[in-house]
Amino acid sequence: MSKKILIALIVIVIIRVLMFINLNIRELTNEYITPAEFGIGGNPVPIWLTDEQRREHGLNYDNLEVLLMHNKVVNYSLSYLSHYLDYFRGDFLFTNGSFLYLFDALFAGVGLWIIIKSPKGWEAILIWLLAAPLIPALDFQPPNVLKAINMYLPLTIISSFGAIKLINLIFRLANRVK
Amino acid sequence: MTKPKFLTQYKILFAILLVASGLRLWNLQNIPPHLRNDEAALGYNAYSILQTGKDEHGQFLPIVFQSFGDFKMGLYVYLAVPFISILGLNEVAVRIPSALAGIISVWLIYEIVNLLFANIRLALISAFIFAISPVNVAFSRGAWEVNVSLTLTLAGIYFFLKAIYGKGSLLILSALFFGLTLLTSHTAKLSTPIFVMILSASFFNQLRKINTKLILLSVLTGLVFVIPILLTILMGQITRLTTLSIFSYQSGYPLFQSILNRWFSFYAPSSLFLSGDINPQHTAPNTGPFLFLDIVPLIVGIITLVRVGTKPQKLFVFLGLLLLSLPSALTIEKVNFERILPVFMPIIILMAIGIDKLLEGFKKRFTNVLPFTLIFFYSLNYLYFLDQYFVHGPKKNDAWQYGYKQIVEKVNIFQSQYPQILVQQSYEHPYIFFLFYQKYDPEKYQRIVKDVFVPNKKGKDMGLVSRLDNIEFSDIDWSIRKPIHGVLYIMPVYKLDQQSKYYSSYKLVREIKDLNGFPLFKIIETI
Repeated sequence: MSKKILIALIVIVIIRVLMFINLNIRELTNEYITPAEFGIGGNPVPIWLTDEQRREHGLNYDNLEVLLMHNKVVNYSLSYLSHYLDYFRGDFLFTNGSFLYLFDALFAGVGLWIIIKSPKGWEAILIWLLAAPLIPALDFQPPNVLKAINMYLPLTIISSFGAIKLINLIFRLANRVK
Repeated sequence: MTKPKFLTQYKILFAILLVASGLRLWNLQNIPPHLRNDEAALGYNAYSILQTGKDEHGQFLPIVFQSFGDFKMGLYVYLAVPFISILGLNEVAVRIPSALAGIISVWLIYEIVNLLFANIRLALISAFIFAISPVNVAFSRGAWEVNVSLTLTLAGIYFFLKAIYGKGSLLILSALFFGLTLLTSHTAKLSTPIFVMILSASFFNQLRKINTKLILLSVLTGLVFVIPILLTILMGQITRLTTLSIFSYQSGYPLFQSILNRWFSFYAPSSLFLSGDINPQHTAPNTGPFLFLDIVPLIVGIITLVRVGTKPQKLFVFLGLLLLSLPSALTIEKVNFERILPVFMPIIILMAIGIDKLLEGFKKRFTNVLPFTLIFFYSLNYLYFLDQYFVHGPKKNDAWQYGYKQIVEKVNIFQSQYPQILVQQSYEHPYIFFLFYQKYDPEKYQRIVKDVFVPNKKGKDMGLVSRLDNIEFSDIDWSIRKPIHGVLYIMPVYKLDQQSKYYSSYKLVREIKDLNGFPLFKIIETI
């Protein structure tokens, strides 16, 4: 992959993230259009967690190290990361939802195995796959098929690649048996 | 690749073992803050064996302990006997076999990785990660049968690999250890066969070179341990299995789909690195079985092993990674780390490979800044875990069945002054805490157990105990049974509030506060 495409991809991702993290968004738009459950600022749980953690430190609740360890930045980051990683859950992708078929798990697994062995030319697809849930993860709801739609193409490409390789392997084995 | 010299390598290993012991033994009686009922049951049964040679139900030296009716596998009890005879019946004596097993595991993992990859640095890194990884610390600091079972499994793998690489006769020893795991925990009945299968598949070619007689002898050794297990199944002592198995439970999904759901949810990155499973005893709060930053070495490790690993290495690690989570996938809870403790071993090996690879990469470039930055952030992450486990963990009341030790201490003062004491019954099995902390005479209990133990009528596993001397365990419901004057009631605060319309006032005898200083249990007399 050329460096230009890589830089372009990174820039696009950064701009989209920056566009989304506008904490004053409610002042700019109508409240009816942006209900509270959208956006990272609408999630109260990390604040509750911060309070609980500081309380559990007893009388030391306002020591510097406690404040550094338990604050909104840390807890919101952890919450964001867990939502981001949840988009890669196998049960969301393959069994529970209506996202991909179960046998795609096998094909995608085989595809990834071969891509790891010789990753040349696959960087764009992998970055696409990893970048796709960056925005939807800003929501604090569980993974959602509609929001994960950007993951659909890269996953399908990887899965089809795996399927082709698997079919080739089966044909080769069949020829050897003959 | 640089190889540390013979002496330095053992010095480093010794330091790692010291770290492991520090994390596992420090303040063992207070953290976790209270015994679980299973720990108390293991301890009291060991005490009973020590005093009378019989378990709490009067069975002479059983292999399987009936306990609450869940038929615990017995090896842990026998391991706890010597410690209880030395230290007396207390928290440390019950927990220390598991803690020591955790320390031995660190050494075993060093030897296993060294045999499998022939790389001392990699082996040291694996041992270090195993020593400090949150999940292993958490499981070593409680009386978990599965932790001892894991150590025995590792010993089995170690001797198997030794046998493969030369000393064929050690295969029998390997079979012996694998057999012993079956007597230690319920989950080993599934995970040990999986392990044996993985090992035979990975080292099939080397295994064929070993003398057939030796292999037959080892299989026979293993079968010796299988027979008592088969006997327990025939005698119907598998209620635990029938209660928890997914096959005896309707989830609403098709069976295959619900198994796969459970299997996939274990591999969710958020359950491995951020939140853990639903049971707060298994991991520190807000922490997974591994640190969050471990995700980087894990990915690097997977990539490295796929590219450069030999066939047996790949088969051993990846088959282990994919198959060992089955015991949890086949039970009703979504993810339960207690059932799949062995699966963390391949993950730790992968992380070690990743760290090894990263260190090697840093030798070529970024030598000055990047390693130190990474080590800095990793230590910060580790401090976060230590804070969560040692400061926040012991403040979570609902995690530890807290309060019963304090109740027993208070009741001991005035037990003889009251004709009857009523304790709220629950599946936390309050009776076992009275037996444990009062050091109740085992012989006396064995005489009354037939009258007081009520097996579960619905065919599930847990039975309940209704009475000990003047202490009665039952559901305190004053809408059915009116409060009696002169009887001492011990009940959780919420239960008292629920029934506020059935009493006018009460005399508070003692109050038990929870770990955050709020009232948890009240000991009262009605007026």
